[in-house]
Amino acid sequence: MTMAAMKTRVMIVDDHPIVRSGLAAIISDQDDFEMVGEAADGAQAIALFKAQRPTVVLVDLSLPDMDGIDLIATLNRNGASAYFLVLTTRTGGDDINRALRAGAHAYLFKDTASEELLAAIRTVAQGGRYVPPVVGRRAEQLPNATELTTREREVLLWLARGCSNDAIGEALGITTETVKSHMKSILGKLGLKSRSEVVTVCLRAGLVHLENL
Amino acid sequence: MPRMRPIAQGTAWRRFAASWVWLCLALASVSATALSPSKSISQFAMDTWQTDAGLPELAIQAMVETSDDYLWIGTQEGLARFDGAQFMVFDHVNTPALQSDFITSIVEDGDHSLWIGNEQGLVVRQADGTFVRFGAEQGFPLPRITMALGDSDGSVWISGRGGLAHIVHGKVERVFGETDGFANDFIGYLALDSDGALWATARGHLHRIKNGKVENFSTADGLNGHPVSRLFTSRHGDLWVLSNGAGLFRRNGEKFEPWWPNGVPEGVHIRDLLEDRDGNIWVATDANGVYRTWQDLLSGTTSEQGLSDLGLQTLFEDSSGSLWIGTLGRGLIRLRDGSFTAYTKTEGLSADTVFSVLQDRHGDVWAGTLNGLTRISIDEVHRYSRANGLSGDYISALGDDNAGGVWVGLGGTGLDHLANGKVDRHISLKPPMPTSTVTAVIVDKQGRLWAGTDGAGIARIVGDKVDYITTQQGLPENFVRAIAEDAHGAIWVGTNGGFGKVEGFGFDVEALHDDELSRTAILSVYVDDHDTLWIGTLGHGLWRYSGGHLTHYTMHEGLPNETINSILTDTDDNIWLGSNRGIFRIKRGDMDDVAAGRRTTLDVSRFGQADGMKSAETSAGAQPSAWRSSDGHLWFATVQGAVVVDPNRVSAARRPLRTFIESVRADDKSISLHSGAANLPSGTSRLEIRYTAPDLMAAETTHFRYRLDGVDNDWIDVADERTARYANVPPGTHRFEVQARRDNEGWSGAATALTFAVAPMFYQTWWFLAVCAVMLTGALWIVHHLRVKWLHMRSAVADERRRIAGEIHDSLAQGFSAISVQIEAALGRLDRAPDLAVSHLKLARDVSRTSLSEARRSVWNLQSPPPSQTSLVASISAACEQIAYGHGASMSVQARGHAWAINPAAENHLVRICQEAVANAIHHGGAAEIHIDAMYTFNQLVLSIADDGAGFDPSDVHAAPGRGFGLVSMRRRAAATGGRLDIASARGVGTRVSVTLPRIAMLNRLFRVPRAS
Repeated sequence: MTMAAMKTRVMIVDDHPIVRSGLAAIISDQDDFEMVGEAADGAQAIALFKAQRPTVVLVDLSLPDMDGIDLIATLNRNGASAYFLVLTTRTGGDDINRALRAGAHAYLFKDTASEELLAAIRTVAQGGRYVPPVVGRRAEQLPNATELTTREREVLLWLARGCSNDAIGEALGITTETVKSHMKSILGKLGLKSRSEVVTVCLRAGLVHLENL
Repeated sequence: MPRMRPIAQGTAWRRFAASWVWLCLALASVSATALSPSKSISQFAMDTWQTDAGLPELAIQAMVETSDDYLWIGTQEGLARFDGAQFMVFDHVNTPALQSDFITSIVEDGDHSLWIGNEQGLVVRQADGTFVRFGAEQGFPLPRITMALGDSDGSVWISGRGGLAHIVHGKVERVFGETDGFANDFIGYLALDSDGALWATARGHLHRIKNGKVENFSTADGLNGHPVSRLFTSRHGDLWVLSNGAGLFRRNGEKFEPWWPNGVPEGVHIRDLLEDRDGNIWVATDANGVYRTWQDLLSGTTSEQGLSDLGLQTLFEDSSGSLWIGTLGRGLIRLRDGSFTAYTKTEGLSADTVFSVLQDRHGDVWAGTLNGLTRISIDEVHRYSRANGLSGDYISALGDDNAGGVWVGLGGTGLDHLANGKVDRHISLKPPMPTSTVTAVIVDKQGRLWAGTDGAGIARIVGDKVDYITTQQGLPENFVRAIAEDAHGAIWVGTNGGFGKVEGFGFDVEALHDDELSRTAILSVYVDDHDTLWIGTLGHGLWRYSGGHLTHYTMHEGLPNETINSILTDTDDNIWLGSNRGIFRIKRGDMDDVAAGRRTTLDVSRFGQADGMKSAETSAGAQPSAWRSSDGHLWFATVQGAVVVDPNRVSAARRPLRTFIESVRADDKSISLHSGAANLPSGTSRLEIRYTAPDLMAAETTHFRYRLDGVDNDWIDVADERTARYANVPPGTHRFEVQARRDNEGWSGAATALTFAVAPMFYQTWWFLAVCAVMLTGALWIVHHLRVKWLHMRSAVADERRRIAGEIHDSLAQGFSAISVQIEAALGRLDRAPDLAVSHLKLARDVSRTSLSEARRSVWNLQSPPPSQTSLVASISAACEQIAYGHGASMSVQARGHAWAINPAAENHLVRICQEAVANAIHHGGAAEIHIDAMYTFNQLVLSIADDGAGFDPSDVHAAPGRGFGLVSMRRRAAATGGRLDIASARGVGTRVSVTLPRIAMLNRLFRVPRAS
């Protein structure tokens, strides 16, 4: 194959250096892939992206300085012509949906075997989408969380942090009454009854992430 | 009340005429408040009380009316207080101070103390109601009392065995005896004359104390030498001396002259002598009853009333003018006067039950009875019967012939016409029906005679022609009860089954357009001076037809009774109604106001036996059952005689009633009222309060109402009930109020109040309730505390779960991801570049070791035993060294200041905060040195964890993955202890986490509600 000049340029964004090194080793071992850079956080990733213009970017969603989805959205907004592949430990449906909406072409869990990962990179590199069935199922299990407003997500975050309505109101600069009405709305949209249930469901669905707590 | 004895009729009316008629003329202006001399004694209402009414004994020894309106009665077996309705008895059992129940004399002094003399000496009932023995200790030497007499200055004189004592303001002022000039030391009866001098008897001698000196009177002064037995005074203070029970002397200056009340037979044994306020002299005799003389003329005796052999003892005139007679063996008798004067068989009537009454054009009053007709004229009472020319004895109706004669309706035999004392015409009715009892007779303006019959309708008689109007002519019933002609000459007829108007030869039952009236049994029909038609019914009240309007008055409008037997109006525009429950007087204006809707109820004055009637029930069914005589007096036929009232003399104002609480009994035990407020024992279940408003004149007209604060919402109207009973009165202070009024009066009098306290049962006391409240509060607190503890626990559990989740995510999951990726890489290079594969595997091994140590730390945190109470520092050291172990960081823990106790939960939180901070320092900050410092002051504990690690920007903790969760957790824990968490950190200079725990929070925390998770 005369593919040397057409090697797929791959970039990795992951805060864990050992994971990065492992991934870099796997990818660079492939003839049709070329590792063009590794970034440990979002800021590094943006800088590297501008410099290297990779074809495929492997993005971990849990980054120290920003959310991986935000990174994808930011890069896409700035006219990126790359394909994003999410490789993460996050299994929540909300994360999956948001990531795909933000422009990710593939979504893989970190326990994916290297063969599948490489296949996914190849699929994405040709403009395809790669969402394994297990991920797709997860995406569909999501309660009507997409209907949650930004404010409601904020309330949810503080709720998951174990705050009372008063404390949430204080943190968000809104009245306790407003918090209560948001809470009511959240419970209604998710079809849930108790606050602790909300936290559990939201953690599972990826509406809230442990690392943000 | 004893039955009156029948008397020889011939002498009765003559005596009656002689006294009554003459006195009537002589005494037109005598006050109505006393026993009117113009009445025969039999016309007074006489009441008798004996032991069955509550009197302790039948022999009355002494009577006195006290300033609080009671009548006190001394008997041979106790003292009784009478309010006009009930006796309250005091004897040696319930009043030990009396010692003897043989009461000889009673008197009230100016200080309202009651002095009671008896066989055992003197007892004083003080104004507060307590009885106290008055004897040698008080300097009073008399062991046995004959008489007690009140002086005008409020002092009292007490005579008896041992002399005569003068008691002033409750102290013995002086004792007179033989040494002072008395015939001996046994002083008998006493009297005060108009000069203020005291007269006394001793061993049959008459003495006078004047200016402190004892004088002696004898035959030289006009006495007859017989022993003096009794002394009396006239209403003006003239002295009468009774000698040996028979001879009477009257004082005339310094001399005595024989005197004997005119008409009283010589030789009768006089027991008491009394001159009432009108100047009647009443003489009570041993065996001949009571005589009354006026102006030296005998004006009545009670010989015909069964009083002759009663052994009269004593006479007393009360403030209302009633005469009280104490007998030796028949109890207490009261004679009282009223506005009404009754004429019965005693006064010469043919029978006691009078059906009809009428005054003819000569002024004679006719009374029809079942047993003949009586004419009462100014100088005689004359009876008519079959014996002297009447066609029958059953007089069923009377009618004025407008010419001085009288039509007499007769049971079964038609009509007689009486003129000039003779029957000059008889009309025998032969109606279609087999009856001819005439119930109503009138002569109309055209001279036609109308007779209503009992079963044969109406007979209209013109000349000798008799026409009948019966049910065939439209009459609703053939039993006619009343006929009246109005000013326009219309004839109105009331029957047993309706009311209507005669129209030609027919009858218009619809004349008044009222269904109820058209069907009701009518008893009386009356056309008054204003041409108003009044219709009295049997049980359906009164109707008025005036100016085309019909008004109905019933009990709803205030009529006390709805059977109206008779109707009259007086010249002052009052309506008088005779009923089965007395005679009512109602202002015509009230009737108008009710008819016009200006007021809802009528003010009804009600008259009955208290007012002189012999029975409160008036007669009905024979016309006329009432009549207004030409002098304006109103006559009513009653079942006990004909009664007459002068409407201008009925409104004598009586003294206002005063209400008293007589006794209080709690569970049948008497409660003392002497100390003002009564105290009732706890657990009182039955409370009985006896109250009264003494009225010696007419206690039966008294109404009461009462209320008990906190129990009764409003006044309880109880008519004449004189005892209030309550069950289970709640504890606390109560106020019982009672008010009295007479018939026809409003509740205007002052209420009398009794304040009493019911002691609470232990479970009703404030302290018991307080203890209960404290216990309840305690229980609630415990529940709350347990709940708080549970919430804290749950919150701690949630914290732990979250921490583990966070740690697993932060380290273990990441670690496994890394291991997984490295092994993938190693596998990929195993063939091509084994060296590289080995390095990947080495990395994987290192990561797995690190992860293992992380996992161990998590597990340690999970399993570490709760910090011991002994030392916070020791707990922190033990927990944190485990974390620092193997990381190469050096850690120091120190405590400063005087340590004080921290509750275990708070200590646990502090230890966990230290763990978290140390873990953060090692894992995120990469610290080499960690200093933990616990500084105790009296007020607070400051626990700080300082490291020399990388530090971070505290304002951006959420951006620091892994730290966010830990910081939130630390804050939560600090808040849970009641303390405050501060973090000072900057990139590159290390981190200092400090917890400030106020000592007071150790207390406050107990009451804190944890923030909900």
